[in-house]
Formats: sequence, structure tokens, C-alpha cells
Amino acid sequence: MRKLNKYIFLLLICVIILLVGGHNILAQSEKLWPKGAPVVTVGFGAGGGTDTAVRPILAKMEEYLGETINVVNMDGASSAVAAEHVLSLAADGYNMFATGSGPLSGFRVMGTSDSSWRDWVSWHPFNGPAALLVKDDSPIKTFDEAMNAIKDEDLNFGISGFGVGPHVLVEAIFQIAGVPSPNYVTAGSCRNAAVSLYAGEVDIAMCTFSSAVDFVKAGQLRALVVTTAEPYPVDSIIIPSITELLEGSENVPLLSETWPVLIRREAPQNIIDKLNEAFIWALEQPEIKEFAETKALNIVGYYGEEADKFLSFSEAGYSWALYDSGLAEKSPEGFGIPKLADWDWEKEKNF
Amino acid sequence: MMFDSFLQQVNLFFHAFTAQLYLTNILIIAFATLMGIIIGAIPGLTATMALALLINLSYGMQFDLAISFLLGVYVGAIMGGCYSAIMINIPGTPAAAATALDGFPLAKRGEGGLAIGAGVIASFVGMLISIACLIFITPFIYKIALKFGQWEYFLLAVFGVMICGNLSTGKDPVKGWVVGFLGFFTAMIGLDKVYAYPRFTLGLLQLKGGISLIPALIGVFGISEILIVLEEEIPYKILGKITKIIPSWKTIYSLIPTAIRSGIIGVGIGAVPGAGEDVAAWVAYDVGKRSSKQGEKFGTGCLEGVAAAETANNACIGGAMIPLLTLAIPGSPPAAMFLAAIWLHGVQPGPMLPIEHPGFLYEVAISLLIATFFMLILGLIIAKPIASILKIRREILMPIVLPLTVIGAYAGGVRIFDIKVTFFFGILGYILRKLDYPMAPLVLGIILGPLADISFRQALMQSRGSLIPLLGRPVGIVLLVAIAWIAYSGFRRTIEYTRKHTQKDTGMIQEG
Repeated sequence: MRKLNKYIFLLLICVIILLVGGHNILAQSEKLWPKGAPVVTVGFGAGGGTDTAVRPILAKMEEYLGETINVVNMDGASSAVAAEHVLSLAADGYNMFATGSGPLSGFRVMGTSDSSWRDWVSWHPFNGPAALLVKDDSPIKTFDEAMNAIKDEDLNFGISGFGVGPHVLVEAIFQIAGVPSPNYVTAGSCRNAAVSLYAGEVDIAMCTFSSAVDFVKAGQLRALVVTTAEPYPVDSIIIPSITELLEGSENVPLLSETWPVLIRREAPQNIIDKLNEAFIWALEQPEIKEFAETKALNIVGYYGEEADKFLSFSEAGYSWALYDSGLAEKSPEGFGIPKLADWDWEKEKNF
Repeated sequence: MMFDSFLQQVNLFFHAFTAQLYLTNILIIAFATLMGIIIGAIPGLTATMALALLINLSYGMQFDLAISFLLGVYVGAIMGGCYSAIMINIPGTPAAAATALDGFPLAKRGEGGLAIGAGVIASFVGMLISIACLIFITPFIYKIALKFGQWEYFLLAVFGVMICGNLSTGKDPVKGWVVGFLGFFTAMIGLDKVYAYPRFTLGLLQLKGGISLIPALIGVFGISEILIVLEEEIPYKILGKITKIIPSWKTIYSLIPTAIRSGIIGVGIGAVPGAGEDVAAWVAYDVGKRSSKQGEKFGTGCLEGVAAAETANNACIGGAMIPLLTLAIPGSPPAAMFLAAIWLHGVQPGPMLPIEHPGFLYEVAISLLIATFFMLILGLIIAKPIASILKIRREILMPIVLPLTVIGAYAGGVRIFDIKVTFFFGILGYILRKLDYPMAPLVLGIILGPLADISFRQALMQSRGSLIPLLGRPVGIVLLVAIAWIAYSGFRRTIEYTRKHTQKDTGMIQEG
């Protein structure tokens, strides 16, 4: 009896080992990343625009996948340092990158990295339209008045920096409206540009709308136009869309910046497919919708070919805007990047 | 009407007070504060880094617990930096660099425990002052902060480096300024922040990213200190047993004026975005030295010096919350992390905050208050064991500190390049120390360099390239006068010092 007990005990241990071990092996094989958690390298500092836009969506994707995704920040050279870092690692699907569509579109002409959208598969949860803003007590009350004032008066125009979303958007608007570039004053970030406007340091500013929406809600700043395709309601105020105020500006909203998560194009297809699934699910979650609403971001949900198409268009817009403002080191022409007017996805997609 | 609004605020305050006082919250704050103290005490791991690492952890937490957690870490880490600054002359965080000036000589005399005790109590007082300011005078302070335009930020950055250079070398301030502006130069390396033009990058991609602060800080303080210690045949020892931590009532009483003055300076500097804890500590130290009866003892191991720096760097926390909550502009780098965390939780600070989340200001204040009490209690409890650990023989301690600091340098950006930067600055720091140059202005130069660079250029953009319109701004005039005075008195001291030295040398030659 005692011997039998011993065998039963041994058997029980074997069963437990098999169960636990087998479960672990099964669990590992079921895991998308069996060798350990993947890492998303954010190309800007923790707490910045890209970082705050990317983290919530990754947290939700983690929830869907049931696996941890680590996020690290590697600031430098408008995220080119991080891009080069991720490109130097194996394309095994364990390493991802996050940046803004604007900086990514400028890498090659700025000479910071040889990488372009062609090297990456990307997921873009939100885009951030920009708004043309004045202080509540400004004599400028409408978009047309603003264009005239910029043409006729010597105004200081606040932007976060050259070559980023709002600058490229406003330059596109000036070109269509036939208004010369004003005296720009860079503020480092859109929030700083909005505060400079509020403090009276600049006369007018173009900022990502999310960074100034609370000033508009509080009645301290006035939004004259927003770069969306439709008018934008904020509480009881309806802000007019650029497309209804300026003829020929239909493509301007497409230049609004996004903050994509990217993976090497050579990464395993099963990882890309699963990330697609997780991304679609995450966008449907109420927390993401609420986040987008509080931050005045649009949920766009670009992925797959749509994401490639967007980045190709964005590259044409940004790289030529950078070059035309004298900021780019190299001409977009050298890389075969078309001007916006010549851009054609059917040609571009055969890379 | 005003009375109604006042009653409403009192009501919100008490509501926040009762809402925050529950066991889980209190335990979380205690744990976070302790963690913050330990992280702050390890050279290279800063409050900013701690918050960056913990943001993700807090994302899954209930909102009010997440806030408490992050604030606890912030408060703890800023104070924690003083342990290593005092005991091993390597500031745990950049904010504690001024603390080392008096803390380390005290530790060498065997009064390290007392210095830590004074540091913890001073940090406590600084926190109390800043919380009171946060609650009562937020609307007034942020309006003053708005008067700071780009020109004033530039002058503030120059002012910070001038003061630091002036203080960290007792007799020869010019040497301090030389390294301070070397720090400015270091900050210019990389793509410039306005036109993305590569400056001093030698065509290297890694240099385009610029020199990160933490690897440079660890190099100049940590690696150079380790090299100096290991070079000595008989390294210095920390004398005596760590017996006394809490200073006598008489001593505490004598430090009160310093603490109040430094606390107010800390809040003011915290409220100005961009300057941060390090500048607060240096300015308070400078004002302390000038207004104290024992001013000449500053730098030789004087508790008042420790108290001035430590009160101010912690008082900066409450100050930094003011522009953060009213304008969503963080007053210091760790505050930027805190802002990101509350954004992730869907709270948008700024002008709509009092309408959308009316009690939020008080919730922050109460969490800070609870963290402050834990900081005092835990800080004093662990002072003795930490001081005893850091007291062990230098030739054993330093090789242990070395890998820890290198990990700290690597952890922030996970770049091998940062480790190379650490060693480069270690050797540079070693050479400069041998030549009697102070280290602190170099680090402050690196911290304030980007602010000075970008603010100056933005100010010029505003004035279309002319300096004339900038010279008439009232806050700017005050800062300019202060800078001119520091420069004048500093040069005079250097000239006197050089004259004495030359006389001595000539005397010796004649005698010889």
C-alpha cells in the first residue's frame, strides 16, 4: 500500500510537471513574442507629443494581445537616432519605432537618416489638425482678416518649430492664398506657442489644435480656422474648416501630422497581422475615444496600404516644404520625391 | 460673491483632504516616497528618469492612486539626492549638486549624519512652504511667470551659470565661469533646435543627438571622483561613527530664517518654466551666503549651506506645479513627466482645469503633503543605515559605485554611446579637478545651455534681430543688473586672488 502510494505520488508529480511545463511550452508557442517582450523605441522624450500619443494605444494593444510591450524613449536628431538604432537591430518583429509623420518624412532631405516610409509598416491611431489662433482681444476676427494682416502688417507669427506639422500646414495655406511668409517666432512646442500668444509675445500662431483647445474653450484664444476637412465643433463654437474658407485647399487636411508606431517591413508577417488586429480593436475602445476627444485629436486608424499612401503623400508635402524654406540639406528631387502637385499613389506604390 | 467662491474653495479643499486620506492611498504614497528616496540616492538615477520609467506602471492604476504614486516618487527622489552628495561627493540628482559643497566637508569631519538630518528637515520645510504657496497664491504667481518672455529666460539661464560659477570656486570665480560656459558649449553640440543645423557634430550621427545630461553628469561627478579616490594611496576616510542624525533644537531654530528664505526662492524659481530644481538650489545657496552672518563659512562644511540648497530644491516642486496646473507648462523636467502622466489619464491641465476638475489642485496639494510627511519620517529613519553604507572604505565603495553609475548613464537612453560620453566626461572632469576647476557649473551649463540658446534666438526673432527693444523690459533689467553685479564682484575677487598669488610667487622667488 505504501509502495502504491509512493508510485501515485510520483505519478502525480509527473502529471503536475507535464501540466505546468506543457502549459508553459504551449503558452510560449501561443505567444506572439515567445523570446521576451518587444520594445517600442519612441524617438522623442518621455512626455512629449509623440510619447503621449503612442502610449495609450500601445497599452490597449497590450491588453488585446495579452502580452507586455515595453516602451523606451531615445531622443535625438528629430527621432533619427532612434530610427537608426531600430534599423541596426534584427528585423525579427521584436523591435518597433515610434515617431511623428512629419519628422519621418524629413529624414532623408534633412540628412539625418537614410530611412523613409518604404522601410516600415506603420499604424497611425490619430492625426492632429492645426488651428490658426489669435488672442481673444485681437483686432483680427476672421481668417480673411488674418491673411490680410499678415500681408500688410509686420506681425510676429508663433509656431512650434520649422519643418513640423503646423509650419508645413500654414506654409501650404500661404502658398494657396498667395500670402508671403511672415516673421516666424519658434517656441519649441505647440503648447509654448499657444502660451506665447496668450502672454502677448506673438500676434498670431499656428498650433496643433490639441495643444491649444483648452485656451479656446476658456475663451482666452480664438481659433480662426482648423485644418480638418469638416468644420470642427468645440463646445458651442463651430470652427470653420480650411476647405470651406480657402479655394484649392482640399489636400491641406491630409498634411496633418500623425504619430505612428512602426515595424521593419521585413518583420514576420504573423506579427504584422496580429498587430493589425490589436490596432483595430484598440481604436474601438472607449478609453481611446475619450483620450482623442480630450486631446482634440482625430482618430484616423491608418494601417496597411492606407498608411503607406498617407506617408508617401506626407513625405512629398514635408520634404518640399523643408527644402523650399531653406531648411533641408538635400533636395527631395535627388530621392525622386515628387512635389505635391505631381504626387500619384499609383506611381509611388511600386517602390 | 467673493465669499461664496472662497467657501466653495474651502469646501473643495476639505473634500480633497478626506478623499485622499484612505489606507491604500497612504500606503502607496509611503511606498512611492521610499522608492523615490532610494532612486534619488543612486547617482545617475534621477527623479525625471524614475518618473519616465514608472509612467507605464501608473497607467494601469486608478487615477488618484497614480497621481499619489508619481508625486511620492518625485518628492522622495529630489530629497534622496542629498545622501550621496553629502557622503560621497557625487550628487544623486543634478538638484543636489549645491548640497555637496557643504555636505561633503561636513561628512569628512564626521558630521555626515547631522548634515543628512539637516538636509531632510530642510527639504521638509521647503515642501511645506511650496504646498502653502500652491494652495493660496497660485493665480498670482502664474501671472508673474507669464511676464517671463524669451529674453528673460535667456538672462535667467546666464544668471544661473554665473551664480553657480561664482559659488563653487571660493576665490577664483572666473574659473567657475570658464567651465560654466564650457557646459554651454557642450549643450550646443547636436542638431540646433531652430533650424536643425548640425553643430560640432563632426559628421557623427550620435553627436547629432547631442550630449545627454545624465551621462555627462555621471562622468564629471561620478567617474572623476572615483578616479581621484583610487589614485590616492591612502584614500580619505569618513571619520567617526554616525551617531547623531537630528540636529539640536537650537540648530534647527537657527536654520529657520535660511529655510524660509530659500523656500520662497525655490517656489519662485519653480514657477518659472524651464529653470528647475538645480537652479533653485544654486540661487538659494548664493542668497544664503550673501545674507547669512556666517556667509564666509559657506563651502567649508556649514549646515546653513546644506539647508539653503535642500530647502530650495524641494520647494521647487510645489512651485513647478503652478505653471503646470494653470498653463500646462511644466516648471522642471520631472514635472514634465508628471504632466505626461496626467495627460495619459485624460486630465488636461490649463485654464479649463478649475472648471473641468475643480478639486484637482487640492488633490495634488494633499498628495504632496502626505508624501512630505513620509519623506521626513522615512528620510530620517533610513539616514543612519544609508550613511553607514556610504561610509565604508572608499577603495571598496568606489569600485561598487562605478558599475552602478555606468548603468545609470546607460538606462536613460539605452545607448552605448552614452557610456562613452560618461567616460569622456569622467576624464575631462578629472583633468579639470586637478587644475582646480569646479564641476558644478559645467553640469549647470549643460542643463541651461539649451534654454539659453533657444531663448536668445527666439527673443531675437521677435525683435527682428535687434537687441534694443529687449533692453527695455522690466524683468530683464533686474536680471541684467544682477548679472552685471555678479560679474563685477567676481572679477574683482579673481583679480585680488591672482595679485596675492603673484605676490606670493614673486616673494618666494626673491627669497629663493
